[in-house]
Amino acid sequence: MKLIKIICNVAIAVLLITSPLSPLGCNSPGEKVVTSAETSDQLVLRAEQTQQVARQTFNLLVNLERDHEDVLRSFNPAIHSVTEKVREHGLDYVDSVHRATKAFKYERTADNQATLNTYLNTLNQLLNEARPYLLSAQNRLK
Amino acid sequence: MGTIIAIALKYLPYLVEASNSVPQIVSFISEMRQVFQRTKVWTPEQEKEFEEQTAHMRQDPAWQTDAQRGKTGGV
Repeated sequence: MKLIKIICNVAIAVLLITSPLSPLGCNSPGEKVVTSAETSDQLVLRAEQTQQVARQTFNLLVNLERDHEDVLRSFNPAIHSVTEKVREHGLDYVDSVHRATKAFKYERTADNQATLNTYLNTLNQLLNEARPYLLSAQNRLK
Repeated sequence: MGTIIAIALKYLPYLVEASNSVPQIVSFISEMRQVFQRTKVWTPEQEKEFEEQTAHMRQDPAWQTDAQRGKTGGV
């Protein structure tokens, strides 16, 4: 009986999904499909999402660390070191990725793509370094 | 035809119960659509907004380093 309920729910969901509500990512009639533009769009999308996530993460970390500086320093001094690194470079890296994304978006050359990838890697490295310390700080302050 | 009606009637209670979930299913699909629609390349206006937010963030005292606050390093 439970299985039948589940099947009925799934059937309704599938019907709704295959109705005009659903086709996400499909092109509207007459729209040209350009594979290379789609691929570079994926890179631009990824770059823009990374900028946003990185900035959010960095902002959380610097504010949390500043608000609870003494507690976190005595808990783990490395939190302060990494946060200082984020303060020094974080927004600059975000800005670099932002400028490189815009450059590549409006002029899709191999050079612009390579520059964007380089700045993206640098930003991701700092983000990956900062994340565990943010988590550690949040856990300590729970 | 009679068989079809019989089967439909047999499963009607389950379909009715399942149809009570329709609002939740529609809500779920609507939220997923919003998530997908957010994953679109930024417009020039969104780019500008992002730049302004970043510039504003730089003014936040929480972003000042120890050197900028006039504090020496070390514990």
